[in-house]
Amino acid sequence: MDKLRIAIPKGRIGEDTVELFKKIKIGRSIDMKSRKLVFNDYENNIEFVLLKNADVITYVENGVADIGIVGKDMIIESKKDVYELHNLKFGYCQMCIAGKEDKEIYNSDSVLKVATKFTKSTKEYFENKGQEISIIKLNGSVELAPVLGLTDVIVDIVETGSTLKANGLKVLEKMYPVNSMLICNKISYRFKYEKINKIIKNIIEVEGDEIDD
Amino acid sequence: MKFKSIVEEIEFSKKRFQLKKDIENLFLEKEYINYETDIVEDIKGSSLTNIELKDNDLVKVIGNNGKISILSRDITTNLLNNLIPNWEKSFKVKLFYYGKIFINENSKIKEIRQMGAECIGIDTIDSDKEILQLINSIMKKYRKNYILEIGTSEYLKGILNEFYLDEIEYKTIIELINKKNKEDLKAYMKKFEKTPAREALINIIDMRGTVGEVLDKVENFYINEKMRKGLKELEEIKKYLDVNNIDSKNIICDLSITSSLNYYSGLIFKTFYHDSNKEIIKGGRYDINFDGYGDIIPAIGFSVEIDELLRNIYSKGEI
Repeated sequence: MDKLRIAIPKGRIGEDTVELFKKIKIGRSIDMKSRKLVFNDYENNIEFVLLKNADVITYVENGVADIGIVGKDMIIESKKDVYELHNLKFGYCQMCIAGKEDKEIYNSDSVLKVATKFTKSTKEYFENKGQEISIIKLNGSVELAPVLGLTDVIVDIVETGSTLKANGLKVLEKMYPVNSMLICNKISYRFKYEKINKIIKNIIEVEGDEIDD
Repeated sequence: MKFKSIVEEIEFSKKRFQLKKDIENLFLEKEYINYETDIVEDIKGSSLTNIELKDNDLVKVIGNNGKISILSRDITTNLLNNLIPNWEKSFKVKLFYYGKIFINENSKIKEIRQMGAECIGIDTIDSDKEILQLINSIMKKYRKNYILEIGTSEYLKGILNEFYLDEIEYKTIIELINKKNKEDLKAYMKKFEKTPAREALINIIDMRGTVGEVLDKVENFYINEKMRKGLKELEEIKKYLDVNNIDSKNIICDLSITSSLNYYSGLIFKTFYHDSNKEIIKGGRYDINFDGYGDIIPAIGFSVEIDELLRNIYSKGEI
């Protein structure tokens, strides 16, 4: 039977993923503390690759990995063509607009300056709201931008809000909730459907899926 | 790093010609007639087909008189524009073509080579069988294992008719089905009244398996007249697959195929090889309402992505 390759992001989401996988008895050989990037589970015929968070979706879209774990923020931002098969119960946070307490977001007379890593989804969000913006792309410490006067607001992921608070900023608007997702390559979905489906079924089982209506 | 040499370049071109000939022979064996379509088309397009063309994708050309035309974006539409105005009732024809379509992609103009076949005016089930047989012959010529995924546009269209959806709701639902995101679809549908149609829609992504399995599964859910019409066509196909020598292990039925819903009016299909990241063949039924008074010309066809197929089999030395 064909080998399945699973892409796992390094960092916090990766650690939660590995913990979940161990519960469903796959990937016991993965050691997040080692410098190795490839781990084999010969028993289940699965190969795990550790990647940078932002690269997981690219590997899956191109079929180099069959499935992967990635934050919904990356899916929305990258617009890559992958299947979104299951919402995982970790990596919860919110994509938010944040700024200084009294900052007004919507004003038809002026162009709002926004600092963010998530340029495409930010552009789309404000376009739908009819607010003209100018985006400044930053790669880190986005919170500094309004503090030092580079921009009016920021768009970023907020988990607890403590970084914002420490820098004198607050959430001005919640854009959309973010969680981790199990994504799948479109061709792998067709040729490895049973194996992938079994993994999802096992995950749902250990998550104790709430059945509601 | 070594770049492609002139010898390799010519060899690749030779193989492309061979591939085209191989497929052409399959069409000729079944008595298909070649039809050459135009490259430059009227920008107004056609009211005959409802193919969804995004304005930004279209490659526009401007003539001396300032008139804007487009480079062919869909060969079937082009072919129908030429043929349907002179169509005669009960006329039947089987055509094949070799052509290029043009699309704007990432600020470049992309040329895509396609070959395809169209059965126009031939009774529904007869042409379904004929087309499936042809696809089967093309796919199995190069690989033993492939997937032919079939569905019907009428099932999803039939369910969606049960809701009064605005444009954003319609797009959101199609997008979620397209992403196979059952959980978010279920959450989104909570805003609609709990009806049997809603249950059918929420479960559409699970309507996947052999044709027989899917036809059994759908019976547990709501079915209206339009959905039933689509399922009847699949039932006929199942009978045909059962009695003929078409290997059903390669055939998967999926009722959540969303491609060009407004364009198709029945059977829809796509084919895949495991080592290619794109569809090799796609197509379906697009019956034409040709006089506006309900006179329907049955029509079904497909296109083969020649570049994708060649890239795949050439790199592995299979052609």
